[in-house]
Amino acid sequence: MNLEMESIKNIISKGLNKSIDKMNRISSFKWELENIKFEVSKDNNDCVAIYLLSKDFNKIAFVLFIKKEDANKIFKIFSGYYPDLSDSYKNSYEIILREVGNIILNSVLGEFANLMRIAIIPDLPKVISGEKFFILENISRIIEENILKIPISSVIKVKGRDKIMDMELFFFVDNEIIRKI
Amino acid sequence: MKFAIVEDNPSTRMTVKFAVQKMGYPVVAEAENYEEAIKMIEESDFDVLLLDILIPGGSGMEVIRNSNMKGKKIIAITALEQNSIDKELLKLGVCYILKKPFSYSELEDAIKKCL
Repeated sequence: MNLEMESIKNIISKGLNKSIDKMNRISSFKWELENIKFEVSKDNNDCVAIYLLSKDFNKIAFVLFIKKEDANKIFKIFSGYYPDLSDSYKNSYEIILREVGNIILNSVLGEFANLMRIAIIPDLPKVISGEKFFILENISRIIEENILKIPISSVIKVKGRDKIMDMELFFFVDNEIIRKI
Repeated sequence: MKFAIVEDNPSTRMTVKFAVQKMGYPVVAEAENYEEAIKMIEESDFDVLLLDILIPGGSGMEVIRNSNMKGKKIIAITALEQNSIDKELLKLGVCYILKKPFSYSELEDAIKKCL
C-alpha cells in the first residue's frame, strides 16, 4: 500500500503544480505551491468548498477547501473588490470560485485519468460554504463508503500584496483504482 | 461566417462573444446548458460552434453526438486535461480544443485555425 500511496501523492503533486501554472496564466498575482503536506489540518474553519464528483464514475472525488477569508482574497484578485455577499454579488462570487476550483481540481483529475488511460467526465464543480468538517461529513455521505480518503494540506502562496492562502484538498478514491495505479 | 456559443459561465460567454465580434464575426446564438444547446443547434443558422464541454444537464460531447453538426465546425472549450477525452473530441469532429484558462490571442488562434 505504501508504494501505491506514494504514487498517488506524486500524481496529486503533479496535478497541483500544473494547476498553479494555469493560475499564473490568468492572474496578475504570482501563485506558488509552497508545500504539500499529506495530513489533515485540525482547523475547523469556516470554508468555501469546491467539490468535484462524477455521475458516470463514482470511484474518485475531490474537495478543495479554502478558508473563507482566503476565498474572499481570491475573489478580490479576480474581481478587483472584496465580496459583498448580498444576493446580487453571490452569483459572481460562486462563479469565480467555481472556475478556480474547476482549474485546480481538473488538473489533478486529469493526471489520474491519463495514468489509467480512461476518460472521466466530471460533473460541474459545486461550491458550498460552512465549517470544514461539517462539509466533509456531508460530502462523504454522497460518496461510496468503500472509498479511501487522502487528505492533502497544501499551502498555495500568492505573491503580490503579502497575500498567503491556505487550501486543503481531500481526495477520495476507490481501492480498485489504487490497485490499478 | 456566423458563430454560436455554448458556455454556462456568463463571464466566459461574454468574453468569448466579445472576442469573436472583435474579429468581425457575428454571434447569432448562445446557450448555457445541454437542453438549450440542442434546441439552439436545431433552430439556428451558424457555421462555427464554440462549445464548452462541462455544461449543466449533459456534456458537450453529448451535445455533438445528439445533434446534427454536419457542415459545422466545432471548437471545444474545456478545463479537462484528459488525453482520452481529447481523442474522443477529435473523433467526434472537433477541429480545435481550447484549454481553459485561455487568452484572447489563444482564442483568436483557435478560430483562425478552424476557418
